[in-house]
Amino acid sequence: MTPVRQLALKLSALAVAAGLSASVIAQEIRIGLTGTFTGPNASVGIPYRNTAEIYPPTLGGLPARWIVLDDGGDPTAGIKNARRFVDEDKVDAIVGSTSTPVATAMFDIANESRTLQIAMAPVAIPSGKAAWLLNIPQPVPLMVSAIVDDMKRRGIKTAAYIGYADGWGDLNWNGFSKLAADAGIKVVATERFNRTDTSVTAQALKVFSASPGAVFVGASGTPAVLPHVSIKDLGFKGPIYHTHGAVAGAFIQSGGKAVEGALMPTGPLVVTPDLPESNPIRKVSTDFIARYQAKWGPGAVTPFAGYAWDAYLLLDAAAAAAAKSGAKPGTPQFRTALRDAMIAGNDVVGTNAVYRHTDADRYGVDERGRVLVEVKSGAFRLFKP
Amino acid sequence: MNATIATLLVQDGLTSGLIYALLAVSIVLVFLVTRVLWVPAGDMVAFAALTMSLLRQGIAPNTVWLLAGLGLLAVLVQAWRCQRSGEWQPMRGVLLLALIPPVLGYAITRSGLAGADAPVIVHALITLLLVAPLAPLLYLTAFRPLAEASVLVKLIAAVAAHYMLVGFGLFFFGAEGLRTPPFISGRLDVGITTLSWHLLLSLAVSIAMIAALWVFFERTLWGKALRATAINRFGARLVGIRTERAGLLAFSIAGLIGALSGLMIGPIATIYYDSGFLIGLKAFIGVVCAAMASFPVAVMGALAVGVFEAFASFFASALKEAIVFVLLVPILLWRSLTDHSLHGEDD
Amino acid sequence: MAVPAHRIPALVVALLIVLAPWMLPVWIVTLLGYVGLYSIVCLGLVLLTGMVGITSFGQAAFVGLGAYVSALSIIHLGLSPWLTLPLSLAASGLAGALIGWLTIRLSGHYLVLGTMAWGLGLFYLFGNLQGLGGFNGLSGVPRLEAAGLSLVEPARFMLLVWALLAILLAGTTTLIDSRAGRAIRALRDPVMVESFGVQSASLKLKVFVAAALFAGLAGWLHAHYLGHVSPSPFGINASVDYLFMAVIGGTGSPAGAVLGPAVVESLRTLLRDAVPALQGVGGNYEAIVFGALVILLLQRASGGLAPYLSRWLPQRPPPRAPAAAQPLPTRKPPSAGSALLEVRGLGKRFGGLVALQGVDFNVPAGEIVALIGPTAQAKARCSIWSLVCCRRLRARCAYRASELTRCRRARSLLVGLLEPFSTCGCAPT
Repeated sequence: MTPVRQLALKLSALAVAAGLSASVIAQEIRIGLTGTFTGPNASVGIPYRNTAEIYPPTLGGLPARWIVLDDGGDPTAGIKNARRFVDEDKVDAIVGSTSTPVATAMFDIANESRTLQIAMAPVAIPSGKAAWLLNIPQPVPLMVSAIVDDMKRRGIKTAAYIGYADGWGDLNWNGFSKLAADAGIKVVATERFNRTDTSVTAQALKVFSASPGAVFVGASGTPAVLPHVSIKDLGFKGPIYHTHGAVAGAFIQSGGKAVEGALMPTGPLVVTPDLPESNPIRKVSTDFIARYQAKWGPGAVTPFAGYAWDAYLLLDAAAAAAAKSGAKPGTPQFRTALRDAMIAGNDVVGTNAVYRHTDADRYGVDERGRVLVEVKSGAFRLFKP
Repeated sequence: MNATIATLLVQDGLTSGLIYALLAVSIVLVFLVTRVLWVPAGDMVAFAALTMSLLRQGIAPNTVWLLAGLGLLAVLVQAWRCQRSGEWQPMRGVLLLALIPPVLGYAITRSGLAGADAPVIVHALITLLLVAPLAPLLYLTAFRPLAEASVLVKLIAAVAAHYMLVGFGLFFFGAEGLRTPPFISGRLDVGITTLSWHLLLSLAVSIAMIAALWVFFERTLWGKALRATAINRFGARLVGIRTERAGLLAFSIAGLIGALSGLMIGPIATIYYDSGFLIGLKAFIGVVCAAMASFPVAVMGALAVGVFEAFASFFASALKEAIVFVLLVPILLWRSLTDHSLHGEDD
Repeated sequence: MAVPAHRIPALVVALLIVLAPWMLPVWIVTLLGYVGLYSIVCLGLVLLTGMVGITSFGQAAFVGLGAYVSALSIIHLGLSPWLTLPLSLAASGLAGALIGWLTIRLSGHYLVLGTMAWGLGLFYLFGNLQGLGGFNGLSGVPRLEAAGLSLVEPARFMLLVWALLAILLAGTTTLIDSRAGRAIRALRDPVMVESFGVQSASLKLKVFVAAALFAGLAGWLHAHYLGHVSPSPFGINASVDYLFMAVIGGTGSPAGAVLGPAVVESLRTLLRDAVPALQGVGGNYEAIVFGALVILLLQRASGGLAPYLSRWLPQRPPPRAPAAAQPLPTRKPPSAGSALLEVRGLGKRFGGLVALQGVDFNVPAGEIVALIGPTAQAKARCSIWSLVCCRRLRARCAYRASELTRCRRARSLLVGLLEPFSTCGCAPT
């Protein structure tokens, strides 16, 4: 056979295979998941990937395929992943990213391509772009209000803020400054640092010398240990609060004894054993923890793993409703049906909250999804004042 | 800003400045002897800090496999050279260097002698054993074949080596940052201010290292041989100094210094697999101040960078990196215009 | 019209690119789009590093400058995307001129460190200046539209990028073959080049600015394709990436600028997607593989991969000088006996040792003047080259009755002074 005919045969075989696989693929739901599994915030992102590996193979009764990619905390990589999901994989929904700046960068692609994006990090959804966006983790103002409430309870009048010099730090600062002002708490020092900094002594000095009654560290994961330890080393005795992004095993591991007593708001998953039996979240959380530990071994389960499971639960419920509408996966109609089912306003009990997303409320979380925890004896325990 | 804050900032600056200073010494040494700009200096620091952190937690670090792999490669490269030249005598030294550290390291870490409750000094020695040989092995595999190439080619190779080390770092240590529990915690009250014990320890170790290097260069034969190679490579060969052996020695010292610095930085900062680059770059600023030639000026320059960085982050925490690096340009300009070794005067 | 043999490979590649959107799957088309983008930056590096010899670790900063200027002018000034192209180019060109002026003055490894320094400095500025969106960057950069068609789809963007790349490649190839190109290629030896009258410093600066302009163009494209600018793709890692791509492809020819990114991006996609089980778990295989590849290439084939490829392709015929070429214009020779060169008070000290002091002499036109002296040093100091730096040597010189004050070899040639070489060396063929 001449080389040309060989080539032609190979190409046509490829085409047939592609055509066949295309027809098979049309029946399965495809979800693209992009998260930060490397880089300074990997400790927050890796639990998501761990949960993704124990996802059941169906969504709403239809076979489902999850495509998991790493964006390394880089907004550009997140955009490239999102484009690939939309252009090549033709996904029905995008789940991601697990870090705020990356998730924010992906909004435009979700809206342009009319694909639902379920952000897995707390983001500020701009009003004009909300059509195809949904947020799972508790919004920052809700969580920061737990901190401010505790400060009020302790009678603290002055506070300081030290946070990331990026979107996450900005979000927490905006929430905190507003709520603190409403509560009559004066912010006496504001400092910023980078996730990759090896030393924040200077910023800690500035904060300490302002003599605040409490300090709020607007960071997440392992880098949050550095300012905590630096400020405590200088002799600060007041309470140090963190964001709900710091609730990670790596935080305790990295900080050791030095971070005992750190306070942070989070979803109920982390303190499931401390929850009352009447709380519906307890049952869902216990089930999830059992599944997670069956695959990944005993050890504390972070709330981030829980968010990933909640994404599955939400998509499962919505896919069932969307399939009933008769649209086929992989089509724009299915994507629209999926989005509409998500914002229909039904209660879905998750591991971190009871979710009710509507067109007006894309965050879908209320006080049922928020508790204050502290680091006690090397673990996260429900904080009892 | 008052006196207390200023002293604390100076201390903080000196603590990191000492690391930069040690690295600067190693970079100058390697450059003078082999004309390689030792960009992976910072990665040695990161590897050592992370290895020590893992050892303190009782986990056996997997870098022993990197060491074994590089050792094997070095042996293969050396075997090829020996086969070409017909002389097999150099093989012995390379075999020792390539095989002993990984085998010994593997044996010790897997044997239980180095569990989480072993004394700090045992862990420190194991870290030195596992990390310091990386530098000479890299020399044997990557830089020695480039001995005749231009400085710029060697620089690109050094950057490539740095990238490989960062990739391996992610593979072996994961994406998480690690801290070492402090060797001695607390502060010493000297009346007017408090000094952290760790700073005093770092100071002691650095002074000991620099003193040892001084004795080495001034009093031992090989030290003088290294200095001769640094001054004039061809001339050194004429008087019988094996310049390649000198290069190996220089890299070994650099590896040791890097590992030691890593031990020092572990307790004061959270180190990630890619933290090494910025640390190395700041050491470079000190090196550039010294026109790559003078050890004391390099040390002074690096200490100045540390202190400057501490003050810059106090006044403008967000812009401190930008300030530090943009300031490098005038220093480079100054040095480039005054470094006479670069402009051959038409004599 | 007969197509010369050596142009056929380029035409074949062009044809494949044009047909790609219809023949190849989307992921290859997207890959080609990014390859084209990186090739534009690498083309600038081929000029800068390959021809002139300036190893630059800061090109990504210029890419970022182009991207940010475009995004900011759209967001704050409301300009249409195509109008921001000249702005991006102007910004990166201006920055290139400024930074280049500083950087050219550095030599050897200082220059490389200098490129690293401003590459890093600009990156941190992008991330930290207010109004630039910080490390999250700026979103909402609108898409390019041409004749009502949105250019955001991978296929259309790819065609746009390759169209621009083709224009730049044609321009670069023409430049290299031209007189200016020969001068650029000779810049590695500044003494020789200046003896031919080339102003080496200003030529280096022009090449630097050209590379910056290429990078700025790539930045503009980048911003409008992704719709988002953030500092991370413009940091030192990206600069190193571009340099590695250029080195792997081969900095010696424009073909290397395309080959390098093609090889690197394909390998990268292979490593990332064909090894899905290890993705994220093992981490940065790409870094390890590319580091090893670069070191191997530097040791074995420092010309990169392009020379290997060109061995299989038809060679271009060697350039021929035109048969009937105009001789260069000559200047009117001075009248015999008139004062040609006058030197007063030439002296040279080496620290405390005085080699020359108070030397005066005249060289009238039409005469041969011989200098006899006890040491070679002293005579060398009187050489024509030293005379051109009269001001530095605190002497007064006049050539053809006009004062010589500038220490520029090239200027001396323009004025009519020729320096004989006193050393000889062998040039490899």
